[in-house]
Amino acid sequence: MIKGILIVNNLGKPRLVKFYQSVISEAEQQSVIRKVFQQVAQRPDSFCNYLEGSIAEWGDTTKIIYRHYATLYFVFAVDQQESDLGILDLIQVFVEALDKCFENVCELDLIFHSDKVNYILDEIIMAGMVLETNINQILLSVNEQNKLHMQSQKVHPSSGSSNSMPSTSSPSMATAANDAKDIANKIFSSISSLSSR
Amino acid sequence: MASILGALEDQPRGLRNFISDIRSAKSKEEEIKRVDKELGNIRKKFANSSALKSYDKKKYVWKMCYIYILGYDVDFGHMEMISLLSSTKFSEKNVGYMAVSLLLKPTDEMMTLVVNSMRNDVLSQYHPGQTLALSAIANIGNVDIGESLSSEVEKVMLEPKVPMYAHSNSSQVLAPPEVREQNRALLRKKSSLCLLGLYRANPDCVDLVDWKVKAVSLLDERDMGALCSILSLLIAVAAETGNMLDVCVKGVVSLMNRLVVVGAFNSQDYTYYKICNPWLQVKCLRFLSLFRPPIEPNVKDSLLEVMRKLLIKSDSPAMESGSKCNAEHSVLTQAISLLITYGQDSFDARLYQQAMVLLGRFIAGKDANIRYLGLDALVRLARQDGPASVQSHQATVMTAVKDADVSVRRRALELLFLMTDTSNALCIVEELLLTLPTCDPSIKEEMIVKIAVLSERFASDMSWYLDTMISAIILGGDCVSEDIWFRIVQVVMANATIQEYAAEKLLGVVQSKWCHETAVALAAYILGEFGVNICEQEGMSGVAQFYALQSHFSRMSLHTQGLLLTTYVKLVNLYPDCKEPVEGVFRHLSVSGHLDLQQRACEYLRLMYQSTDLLETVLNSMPPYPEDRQSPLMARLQAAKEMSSAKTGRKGSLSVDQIEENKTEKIQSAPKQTDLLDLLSLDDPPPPPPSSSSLSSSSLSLSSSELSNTHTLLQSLLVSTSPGSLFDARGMKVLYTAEVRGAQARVLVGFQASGEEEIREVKISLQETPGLSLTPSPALPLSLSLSPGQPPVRLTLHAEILSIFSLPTLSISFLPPSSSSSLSFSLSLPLSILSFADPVTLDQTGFMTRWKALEGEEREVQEVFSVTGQPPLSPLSLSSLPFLRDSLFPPLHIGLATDIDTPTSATGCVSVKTKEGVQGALLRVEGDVTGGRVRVTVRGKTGAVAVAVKEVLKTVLA
Repeated sequence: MIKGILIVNNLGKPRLVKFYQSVISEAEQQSVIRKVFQQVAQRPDSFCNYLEGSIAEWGDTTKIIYRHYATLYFVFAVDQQESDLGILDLIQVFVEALDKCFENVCELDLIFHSDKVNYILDEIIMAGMVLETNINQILLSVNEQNKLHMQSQKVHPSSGSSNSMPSTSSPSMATAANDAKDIANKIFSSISSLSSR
Repeated sequence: MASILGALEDQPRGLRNFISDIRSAKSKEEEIKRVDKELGNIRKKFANSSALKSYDKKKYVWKMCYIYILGYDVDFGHMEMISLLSSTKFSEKNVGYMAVSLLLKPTDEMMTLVVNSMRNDVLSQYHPGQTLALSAIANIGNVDIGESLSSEVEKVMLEPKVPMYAHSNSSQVLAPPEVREQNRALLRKKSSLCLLGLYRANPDCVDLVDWKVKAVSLLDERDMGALCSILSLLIAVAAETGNMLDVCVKGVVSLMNRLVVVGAFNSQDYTYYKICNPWLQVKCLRFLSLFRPPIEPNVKDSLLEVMRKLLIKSDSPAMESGSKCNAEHSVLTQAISLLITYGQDSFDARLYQQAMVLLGRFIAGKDANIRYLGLDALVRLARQDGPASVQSHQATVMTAVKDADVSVRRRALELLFLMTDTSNALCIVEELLLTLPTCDPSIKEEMIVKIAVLSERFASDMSWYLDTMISAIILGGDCVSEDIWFRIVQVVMANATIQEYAAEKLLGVVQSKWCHETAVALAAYILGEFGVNICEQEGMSGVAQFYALQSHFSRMSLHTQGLLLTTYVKLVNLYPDCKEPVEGVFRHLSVSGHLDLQQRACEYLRLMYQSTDLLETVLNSMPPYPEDRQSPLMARLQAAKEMSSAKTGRKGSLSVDQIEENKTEKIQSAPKQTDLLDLLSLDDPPPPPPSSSSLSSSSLSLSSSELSNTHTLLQSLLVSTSPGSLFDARGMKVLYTAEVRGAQARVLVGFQASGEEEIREVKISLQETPGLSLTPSPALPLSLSLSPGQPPVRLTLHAEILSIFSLPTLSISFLPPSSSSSLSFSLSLPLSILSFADPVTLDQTGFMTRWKALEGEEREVQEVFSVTGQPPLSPLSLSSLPFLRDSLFPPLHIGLATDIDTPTSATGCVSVKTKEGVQGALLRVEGDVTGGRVRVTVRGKTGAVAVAVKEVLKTVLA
């Protein structure tokens, strides 16, 4: 099974943290994130995408499988039940799904939309088990969920949510987002130029 | 697709602003302050939560999730989460479930409320609620929740009930059949995975009575996504229950056949890079590997067809790279792994051969992932079928041991270890020894353990074993764990034939000037027991043995020093002429500040003067170890192996984790031990002290032999943690010790009369050292006289680094005994810029980038000089540079650059913090073995730091 998923940027800042097993306390989790980053960051892209038994908290048999896209490392920690290359493919599917949802996903999308990233991930992996590998199905489920949100808000217009929603053109937010988008590297400019491994 | 998330765009503004605030925080403190403020605010709002609007409640719970993800502890607001959870609105339920699975720990008291809410949702006909609840159950997935909810989950899995109507709150619109089918599949998918999660947490919570029937019926599922989940569940159950599910083999084989051969699932959806659902294929193959090969002819034929198609499809020599290659290989490696499990003869020999050919191609290939997986598969094969099955790949694996990538290297080492038998042991151990000096520290320890086990297991000749191990200890340096030499002692004790050889060989080792602590400890033990076998030979008398060991005493750790003392008392028992020198050592140490040493010294001193009978009884040679004593190394390997074969077992993993932890700790603490080590220099005689009126014109100077003696003294001080003497000639002794803390150092210099006569007119002054602030106490210049037998007169220097400096120098003059004119000389103190440096460890790319960035004439210095000094540094040989790297770089605070060195080079990096800022330097030492010379190249941030580092290195080497 999958024991944990981390998305960490090139500077070691975690952008998504999901522990499915074995690592409970915050302190332990922080130490795992640090260790994972240290180990992964020093490996050039030409090396293989696997690291074995290097995180004590996860035990000796856990393998780290990671991919590096532009500014982000996608790291999966798995046990021996999972297929090594299958997980690599799954990471690719995850990133493709993010890319479809956010249109050229970049690091900032993950920061400002951590909820959506979690929704998408939950459609792919459930409690450390692979739920869905088909990208269309994943997007469909996310879409479905989205509709439900809309409905539940339409049915109860009095909840006050619609009035206080910021419009996307709200000037301060828009400029902030634009500035930031300029600085941030795109994870990839087009899906075809994905890291080929 | 952007519209997919369009509606989710409208997150609460407060959440967005909060995230922006956190991101723009300039420091950690600012971030913490903002988070604390927010948490305070939320607490205040929640104090009166009934008044909160749904929108606000969601907003605050989201903020709590975000704060939790940032790594802060969030342990309140549980009631608010649960009230969201039991809401009928999807948006609220959703946030509630997200928060519950993220923030609630399995042990929280609120869990019963959550469980009830979940049971209602699972059994409801409200589809989104069902799926949310299933996800949450799986995510929480502990034993308690399994006991309360597993039967509900199983019920949903076997008969997923989907509502007839499109909207839960209206009964007018019938849901279209394809939507209902989709919902059904989703429900089955989630419930089977959920059950799997609960089953893994506690196998007893699922009642397996009718499972044969249930499992077969589950395989009739047509939806590929649901099938994938069902197979995950079946694999887990099959792994636990042995042969119970063998009725499913037929179904799984036919599923594989439909996937691979027939292509019956031609839905584009699950095709990933032109392969039909590789994940499902991998799962099927994995399921099959849990059972014996099928015997029924039609099932077997069907599987044969599948395997042929898989293996032959990949036979095209130029496999594409990229994701397609990935997907193809994931199925292929699983297929090969299945063939390995089936074995050569019980399924199909030709396919098996084909699999072997493919594996050979994998490990020789360019793609690092494939190489890794190929080695991994071969390791499995070797474990199952023994060394002979993989020996044909020996040459390729040998190169893979030197791979730049540590993951590949580890696998290769493991494989090499498994493929060794008597036929190739000699060659493999030799090769591993050759690799040892250049190999990465992270795997060095493992490598040495493997060398030790192999050479012991397959030694045809015990002297070969001994030679191998001694080389490994010398080359391995700090990476040799204690177990290794303990085991050597055991082996030597058990083999009377090699005891003499062992003593002879180890005496030779300790007679050289440079010798690692482990070797000294081993030699001490062996000579104490078996030194008597060789004492008749020339140059190997008891006294010679004593002096050889004693020459290393001062730089050993306390533990080894204690061991040496025990050996000395054994020597006294055997050779009467050792009594006098040993007694001197004991007397000296009987006032030692270290309790253990003092105790040993006192007790042994008393023991020496007891009756000879008693002495002989106490110091009789050790009895041999019992035959059945297990090698600590084998025990260690076995522990690791048991671990890897254990499926779960959190408890068991602790021991190995600890070993792992100890390893890292040891590696990290190694340089610390040598913190006080410093450089000494006489190569660069500083300018003579300004002539002062007190110096008589007829002053003497040191003879060249005295200078070189002093040099030797300084060199032994170089690798010593304990105080050492810096000068010892003409009846005067200068002692030195230093302690560095950050940018400051405390240096103690002691002056003592070493002979019987008083030393008069000692004058000490300090030369100006630009870049280093030195505050002496008492104030200098100092005039004093030293009486014999008195404790040393102390001079304390408080040093602080300001910028790059060269070694500080004391000017000393004194009147040697029986001389009328005074002797004056300059004495460099072993305090260099490297004493204040921090090691920087870099990998190849990191090093090369920085190296290139520092290009330029003024930043680089280079010098070629011949190496003098003791073995293994001089004469320059193949082991000199690894020695330099492993044993001299750490005390000099030079960090290693990994994966860059050849056997004849040593590369490192160091950074010095001065008042003017941090100055880094990169350095490379290349050896010319035939010429006995080295070339030192240093590139620094400034020319000054480069020159200074080069000078220090030259001091060490020349």
